[in-house]
Amino acid sequence: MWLKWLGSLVVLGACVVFGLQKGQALRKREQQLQDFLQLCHRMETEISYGQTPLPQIFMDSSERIGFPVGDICEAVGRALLQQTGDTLSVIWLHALGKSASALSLRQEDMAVVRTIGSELGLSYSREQVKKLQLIVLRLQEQERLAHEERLKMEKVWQVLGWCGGGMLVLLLL
Amino acid sequence: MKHGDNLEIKQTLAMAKDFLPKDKLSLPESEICLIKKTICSYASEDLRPALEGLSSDIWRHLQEIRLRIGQPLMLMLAGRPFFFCGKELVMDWRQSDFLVTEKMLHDTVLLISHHSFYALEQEFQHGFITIPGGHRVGLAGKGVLKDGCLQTMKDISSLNMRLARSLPGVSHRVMPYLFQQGQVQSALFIGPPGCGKTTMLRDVAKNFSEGYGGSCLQVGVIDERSEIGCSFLGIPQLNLGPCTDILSGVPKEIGMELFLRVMGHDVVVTDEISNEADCEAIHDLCSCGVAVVASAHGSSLQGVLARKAFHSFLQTMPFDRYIVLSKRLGIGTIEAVYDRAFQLIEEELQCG
Repeated sequence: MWLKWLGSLVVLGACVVFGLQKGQALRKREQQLQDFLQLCHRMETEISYGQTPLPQIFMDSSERIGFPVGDICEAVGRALLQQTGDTLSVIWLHALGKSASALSLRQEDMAVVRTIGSELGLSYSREQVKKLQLIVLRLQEQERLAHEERLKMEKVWQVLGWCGGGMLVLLLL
Repeated sequence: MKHGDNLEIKQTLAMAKDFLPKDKLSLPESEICLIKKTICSYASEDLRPALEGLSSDIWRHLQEIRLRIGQPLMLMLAGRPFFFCGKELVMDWRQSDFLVTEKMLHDTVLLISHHSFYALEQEFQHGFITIPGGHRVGLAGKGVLKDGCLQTMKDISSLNMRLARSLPGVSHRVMPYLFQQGQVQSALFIGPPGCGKTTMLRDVAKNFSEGYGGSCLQVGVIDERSEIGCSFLGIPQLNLGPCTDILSGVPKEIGMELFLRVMGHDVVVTDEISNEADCEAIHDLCSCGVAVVASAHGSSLQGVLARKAFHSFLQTMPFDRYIVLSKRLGIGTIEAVYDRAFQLIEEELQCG
């Protein structure tokens, strides 16, 4: 008998955790999009006013932006400073790939984030700022959608976790 | 077979060695390796293997690397152009099988700019970019103007890397004429482009700074185009001596005024005087007792005297020495030395 109750607790716990994780993934997605937005805003400022080279922008940003976007910035900054011969586009994609497990972004979010690496550093400041502004607009749109989804679905997943777990327990009992 | 084993290369390198003083201008192997490592780190992935395959003897005499989209990759070696043909370097461009692609040039520019093309806008106004080691990269493409000034460049189609070398001792034959009876003699180096005027100025500044003639002199270098010290991020990449101050990126007339007011230099060195404003600033310095060592474009003293900007200025005899350089027997050939009254003192001093 006690084994049944123990098993029920495990099933309930697993469902609750599943629901919480789904909710957390929605929060992380929104936060990470905000972090990429912060990165783009910093770049826009540094390029317009300081003409700061990209390696320095990435290294400075890595200290100001949280995990995992900060780690991506640090990896990119270090690779750029090493002058390995790889283009920024390759370095950026590589860094995103290495942090893929830590990112909670959707396909459509990643499509926008990938363009950061392919557009940066290739043009003079006025054109560079325009390209960044376009990326910012697209990221803001994704961030808005992520925010709406989180408001709608975070609680839903948490409740689903509890309810689903409860129903399974009842069925099993 | 490494690049540089064919006959044309051997002949060129032998010729180059004849122009260089045996022990005075040989670069140590460590400096050759450093130059090679630096240049290769700024070359694109598909260009790098070709450059890394060059022997250290070629690197020792390599002056320029030129990339032009769709054209053979060119190396300037001891004043002569060479092109890649398989494992060899040849002088006939028609035999070349190594063409520069758009990607090769584009990636090289990205590396040189540290992936930050927008950050080069100030360098474009000078016409070149300086990379660590003092090497200068000139770019050609489509200019973007703002208020009539060149703001930046786009659609880059060619690039020229000029390798910088400090050649300590290159001025040893002229130093006795620049320091006599315990006094620094103001001097003007005259020569066509690429004959070694800037290299001479650099060595003269270093000599005075290090104590040529007895005690170290305070030397000021006005490096308007960052060619003398080859500054990168404000730090001179070539050694100008322990008692040298460098003002780079500042017009000569402003720089001379600054130095005169505040720095108390014994000698001021500046490159390429070309207009009346430069002449007036030098006149002010000389009349305040500061020795000036400068350079000007020209093939002869008579040619420089005939120039409108210099004619009346030089009649005031601001310089004690006029030294004419050429490339006749290689870079740094000293054709003649004149005194302040334009009288010939000596001619055809060969370096070394």
